[in-house]
Amino acid sequence: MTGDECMILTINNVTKNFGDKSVLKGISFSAESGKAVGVLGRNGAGKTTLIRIIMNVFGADSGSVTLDGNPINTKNVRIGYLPEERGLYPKKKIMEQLVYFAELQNVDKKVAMQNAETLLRRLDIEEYKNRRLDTLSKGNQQKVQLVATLIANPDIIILDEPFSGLDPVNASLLKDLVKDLIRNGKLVLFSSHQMNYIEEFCDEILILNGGKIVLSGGIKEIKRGYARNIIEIKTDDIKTITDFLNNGNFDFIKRITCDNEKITITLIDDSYKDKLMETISQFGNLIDGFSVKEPTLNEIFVSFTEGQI
Amino acid sequence: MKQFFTVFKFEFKNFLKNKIFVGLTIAVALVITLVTFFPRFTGGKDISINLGEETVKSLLIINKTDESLTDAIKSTLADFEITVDNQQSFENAKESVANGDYKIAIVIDSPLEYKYIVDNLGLYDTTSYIINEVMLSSYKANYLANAGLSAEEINKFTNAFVTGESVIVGQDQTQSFFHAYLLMMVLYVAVLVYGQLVAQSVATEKSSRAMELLITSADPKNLIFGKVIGTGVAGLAQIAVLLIWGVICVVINKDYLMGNEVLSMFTNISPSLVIYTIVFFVLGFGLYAFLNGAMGSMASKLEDVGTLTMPVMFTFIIGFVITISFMSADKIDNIIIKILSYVPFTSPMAMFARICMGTASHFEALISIIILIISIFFLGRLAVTIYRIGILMYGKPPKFNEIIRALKNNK
Repeated sequence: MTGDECMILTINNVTKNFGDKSVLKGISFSAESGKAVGVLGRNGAGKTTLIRIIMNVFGADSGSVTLDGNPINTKNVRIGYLPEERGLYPKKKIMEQLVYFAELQNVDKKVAMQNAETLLRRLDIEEYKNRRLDTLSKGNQQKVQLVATLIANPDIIILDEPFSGLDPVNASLLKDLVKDLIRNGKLVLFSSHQMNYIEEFCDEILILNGGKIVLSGGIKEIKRGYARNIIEIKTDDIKTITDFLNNGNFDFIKRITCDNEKITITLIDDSYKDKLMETISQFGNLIDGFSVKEPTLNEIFVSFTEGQI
Repeated sequence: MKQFFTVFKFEFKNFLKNKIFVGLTIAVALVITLVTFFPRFTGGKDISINLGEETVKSLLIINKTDESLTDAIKSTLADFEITVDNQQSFENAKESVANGDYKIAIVIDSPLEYKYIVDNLGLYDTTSYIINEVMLSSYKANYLANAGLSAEEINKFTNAFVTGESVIVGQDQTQSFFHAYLLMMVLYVAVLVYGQLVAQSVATEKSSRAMELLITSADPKNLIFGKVIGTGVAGLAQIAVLLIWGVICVVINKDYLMGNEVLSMFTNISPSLVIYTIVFFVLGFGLYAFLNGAMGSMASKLEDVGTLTMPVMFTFIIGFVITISFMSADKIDNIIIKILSYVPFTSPMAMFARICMGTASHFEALISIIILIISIFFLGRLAVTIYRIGILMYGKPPKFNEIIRALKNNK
């Protein structure tokens, strides 16, 4: 299978039990080439189990994983996996083990070496290729791990916490690479607890909790689905505007709070936005920003996973 | 299949790059070199421990009987510095030996009774044995003289000897014993060491979490087969290199090593025995390496490997000890050994010992080998299943019943 084709990975009603413990209870979603899907969930929510089922490490008890409608065959499609628990041989030379992992995935040795060189250069760690892994810093080891993930030029890429423990420079280096992968039509499943990265890469997310998907869809749509009746006004002169609104006793305003930089106004309904705007238009020169406050992904995640796994 | 060879090659190369493995091989090769070249530089004498026999020993004789006995001892122990003082008491003699005045003191109480006083009785001390002989023949001579025999007749009688020659139609059990013992030691060490290495290697991959990538990149079957066979071939290669080096050393020094008994025992090993050695090494190692690999897969930390492989290792050690004990007691035909020689866990030792000692036919050996091969096939499959489950288990090592439950759930 080449990277040019558009693939659709479909997970259909997958369940998995370990002994008496039900880990996945009917998971369904789909992902396609050129897009990243954020797989979110608290520790122990079943993310790793789901990933292992997709990678055919073990089978699902019921349900199916299909690629373009056919049961996924890991012999025909290459999957690159960056495990959350980093795993390489600490005592082996970097090039040697990278080539080994590529050869296991049926990549020719020469091609593997070329791929490794390219990726190591791209991540600024080419000079370490003949060093033992455990002589490298944590950040550089992490980069080697990403090279191991990508060395076989996989069509599907599963990244589990790819940015943990990286300094901002390395993080941005990796971010650019991941963005390129998505742009080049790779199908990316992205799991992280750092919501800012999820928002940066993923158009769609799914939140796993207690073995079920409790929320899924496009990030924008999800956020739009929330009430849009909370308005934030950015201004340097908080007092003037707050006093004006408080004294006006406007019946369409439910509550007014403020901090050092902004005033947060809860309307009785989002249809009164224009009315609010009109009311404060006389202070137009004092106002730096007028926006609907959307919930952050973090808040959404917490609200869906709090209390129970 | 390609994946299997990739794993095999990787594991095999690991050994060639392992400094301890290479160092050990070189060390053993050096010992072989030293032993075989030694006679060349010492004019034909081989390495033997100097027992201190050369130094002149002082001997005190206190003879309370016939004087002729003193003379007989004196003439036999010519290399001793002998003092005769028949007036001394036993207590005095003990004291003077303890003081170091004499190495040995002999107190002869009657023609057939004496006390041998020595400070430390050495393992190789033959003096008392010689005195026994001298006294006995002297007693016999006196007895015969009293019976009226002439000196000539007595001499003829006491110096008579029997010449015998053993014609061995079957196996020479003294040599077979040596072969069996030696080869079993090699088998024993190899299975223990390499078996343990397989378990450790699996556990290391797990504890370093390299396993996370391995299981998602390769079929567990190829991973464990590649590892077991890669390790086995590395072990065979090591033994082969040492063997070839040994042969080269011996050939170079053959003029100096002629007549060396230990060496001739090696050169007398028959080709069929060499083949059996290889077959039983390969099969014995294979059986135990699969089990060890499976056990290793359940360890999360390297420290757990020992505990997990203990039952497997004990089975092997017990099999070895039983076989060696029956062999030493010259009861290799015992029914217990016969049974053990068909049980796959012990047959690499028991059947091998029986073959070496010449008590098993080729047909019996073949049946045992077939049973072993079939067992390896099934144990290999079981090992793959355990491995598949084990490599995903983290935390404290599972108990036996937990393994069984996991195996049941897996089906």
